[in-house]
Amino acid sequence: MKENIDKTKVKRLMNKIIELESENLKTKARSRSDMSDKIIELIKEEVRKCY
Amino acid sequence: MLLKKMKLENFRQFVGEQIIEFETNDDKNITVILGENTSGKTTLIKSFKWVLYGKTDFETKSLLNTTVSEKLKPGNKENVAGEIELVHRGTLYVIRREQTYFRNNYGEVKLENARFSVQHKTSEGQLKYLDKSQVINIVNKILPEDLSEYFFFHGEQIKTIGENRRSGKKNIKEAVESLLGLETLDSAITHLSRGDKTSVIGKLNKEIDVTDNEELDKKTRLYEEKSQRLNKIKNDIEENKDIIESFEEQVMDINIKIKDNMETKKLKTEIENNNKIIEEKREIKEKKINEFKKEISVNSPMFFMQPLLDRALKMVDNFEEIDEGIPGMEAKAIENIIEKRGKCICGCEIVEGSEVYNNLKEIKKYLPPESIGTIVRLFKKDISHNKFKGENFYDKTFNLVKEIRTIDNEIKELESQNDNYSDEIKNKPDVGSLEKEVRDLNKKIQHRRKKLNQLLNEEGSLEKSVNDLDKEIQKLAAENEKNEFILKCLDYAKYINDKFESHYKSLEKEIKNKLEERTNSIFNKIYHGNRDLILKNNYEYDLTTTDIEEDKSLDLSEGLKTVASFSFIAGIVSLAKEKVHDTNNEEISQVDTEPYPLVMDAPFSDTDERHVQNISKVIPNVAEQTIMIIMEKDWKYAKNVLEDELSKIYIMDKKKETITHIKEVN
Amino acid sequence: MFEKTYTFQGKHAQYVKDLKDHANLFDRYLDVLILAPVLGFLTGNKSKLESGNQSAKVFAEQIIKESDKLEFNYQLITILDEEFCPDKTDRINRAFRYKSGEDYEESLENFNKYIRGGVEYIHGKIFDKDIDIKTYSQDELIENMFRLIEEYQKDFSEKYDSGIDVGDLL
Repeated sequence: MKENIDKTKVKRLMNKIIELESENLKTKARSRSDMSDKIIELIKEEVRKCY
Repeated sequence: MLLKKMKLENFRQFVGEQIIEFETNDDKNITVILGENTSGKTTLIKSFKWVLYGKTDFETKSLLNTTVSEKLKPGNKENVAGEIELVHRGTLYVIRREQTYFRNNYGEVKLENARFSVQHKTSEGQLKYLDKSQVINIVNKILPEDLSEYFFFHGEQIKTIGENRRSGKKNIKEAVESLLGLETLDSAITHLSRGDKTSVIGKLNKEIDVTDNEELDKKTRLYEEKSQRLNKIKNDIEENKDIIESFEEQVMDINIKIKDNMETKKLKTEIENNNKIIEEKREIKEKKINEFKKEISVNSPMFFMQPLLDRALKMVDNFEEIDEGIPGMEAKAIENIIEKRGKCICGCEIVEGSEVYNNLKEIKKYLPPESIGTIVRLFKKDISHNKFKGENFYDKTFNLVKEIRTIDNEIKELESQNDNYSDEIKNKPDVGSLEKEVRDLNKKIQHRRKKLNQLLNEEGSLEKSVNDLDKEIQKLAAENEKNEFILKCLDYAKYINDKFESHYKSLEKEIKNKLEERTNSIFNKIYHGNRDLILKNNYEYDLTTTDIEEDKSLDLSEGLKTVASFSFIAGIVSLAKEKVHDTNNEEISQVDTEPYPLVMDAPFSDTDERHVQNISKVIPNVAEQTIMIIMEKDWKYAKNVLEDELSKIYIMDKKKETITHIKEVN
Repeated sequence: MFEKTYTFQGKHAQYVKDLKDHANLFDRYLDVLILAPVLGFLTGNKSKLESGNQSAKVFAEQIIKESDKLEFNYQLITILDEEFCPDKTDRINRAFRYKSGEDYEESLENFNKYIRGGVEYIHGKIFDKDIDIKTYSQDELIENMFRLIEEYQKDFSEKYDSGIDVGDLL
């Protein structure tokens, strides 16, 4: 399954996750659970992409 | 985080509204506030803490300026307020804390409402209040309270920082990492993988379709169970580690006490040795005293009679009676001639009263035993004998007395030493019970270690088991097409998490090394000796030395501790100034860190001129912004070094005991 | 001449005890007896016999052993004491010739006065009359005795510490 990992997607995801985390550290708007959900959303979105 | 402005209203001795502005210019980033002792230096520092955290530790509780308070009439109220403007991660914040005081009709001053608010400037340029839930944590995000004592550098606290120990420092690790920007990563890892119920991986796992697949369902449940158990075990492991370390610290403390006692044993031995020597010396002294006594008893008369001897000699030298009489003849013979015989040996008649009779009587005087020539001769002999005996008397007694005095002094010296030792020994604890404590603690530690090992073993096997289950679940799930997507997402989540985790570990190591290096470099610029700072795992530091003779770690001077603490803090601040980036891992963008100010109250109070200058040279390069509250006498030494970097100088002008004005100096 | 037990009486007995028993500066009462007349004569101290309960005895056996020392002292003082006996020949006779008789008794009593006077003198030099004898430490007593010796040494050797050559002043 490791062969399926697309490095471009990984890079995008990492950046988005870090961005999300920084933002949240400032405002503390989301709860822990919310954060996980949001990240799941990001991952699912990215996996579905075909570019 | 950089400070822009500080406003105080009726806060302690700062009556009315008083403002300090801090520049954040690149090359002029130092603000100096001058003030003599009791003008409010410490209060100013403490005001930061009050505004940010609501903490005060003043001796008199009331924050309201005394003069204002006295003027307060019953039924009226007055406000105390503090407001800090700062910039954090690009956003301007205005943090304000207010406390109202109210004098009731009984004349008592009571606390009323306390208000705390935080505003931030939005991207549109407007100041907007943060709501309650955001306000609670925002300050700790900007500057964690645990670390605040590092940034508000309180001269007198430096000693306690200098004696850093594990117990206070556990939070430091987390706080330092937060300041240095590892927090984002850590948070991401938490969200991705920690906690099977709330994490991304946990939730995704839940989404795996297990219907129609009993085995998958069973395995998934088992996985959950084991994951939970694994979590608990991880927590237990941490807990045990903490407890073990705390016990070990206790053991360390007690061993120091015992060592103290070893000192006591040593001192006791010293005392005993001294006492032995004192005894010996006393004996010698006794002997000498007896010799002195003997000398006096036997020879003192000869000494004192010295001046009489010559006169006496003259007296008998001139004595005419050299005549020792007639050899072989004694007074008895004359007696016989006069009394018995009546006739001289030559035949002459001796008649009483006649000239012959008188002559004979006269001669009798000069014959033994009536002649005194022998006696006088003996007397003369005695005179010279006594002269001789008397001559040496003074030297002998002088030397004896000298020796006695010397020994006496030596004895007094030793006795005084013993007194000092005895004083040192007072109040030392009882070794027996301390050693028992250590034994008990060691038993407890052993017990805990056993437990820890068991837990670690269980952790190991559980982790393996969980991983295996995970693989099996993946395999089983993959058989269901529906799960292909979810599994793919899981792959990404796990991959990213692994990358984050390893990056975090290496960053952490890098930061620790860099911190140690940076701290040492600053330390060595200030202190020119043979010492190094060694950072331990949770950021405690030790001062070691390669110079064996210098290694008396219990003996650090106050100045040295100050310099060490300062270097540690300066090291943290200096790192925060930089961006730490990992050139090995291009996938991860730079961890963002931001600059922090250094606010110092009396940083030079325990250091000498040389250290003051050395610290001053280092300061501009350490923090993005430095605020120093110092006494004029210390400023004198630092001025030359810092003048060019200076943005503003304020002076705290103490008008009265209860009133200080902060004014800018041009 | 000196062959009987010698008895100190009254305050002199006390003084002798102080010096020997208490101050421990002399081995025997006899040693005080030998020294005293020398100092008594040097300083012109004579003292009458005092009656009293106190007594300090020097026994005949000891006296006899050291009788030559006692005799020497007697002879020395007797030939030198011009005030007591102005005529030289007389002095010499009293010192060396007479073993009994009025003149002899007179000179002997004179000698005894010096003994007593000397005892008082020494006692006064070692102890301060205002201070309780019991409070003296051994060290103090030794120092006092040595000070006395030093005083005389200075006089004998004419070496003083004053730093001034008195000859210049004369």
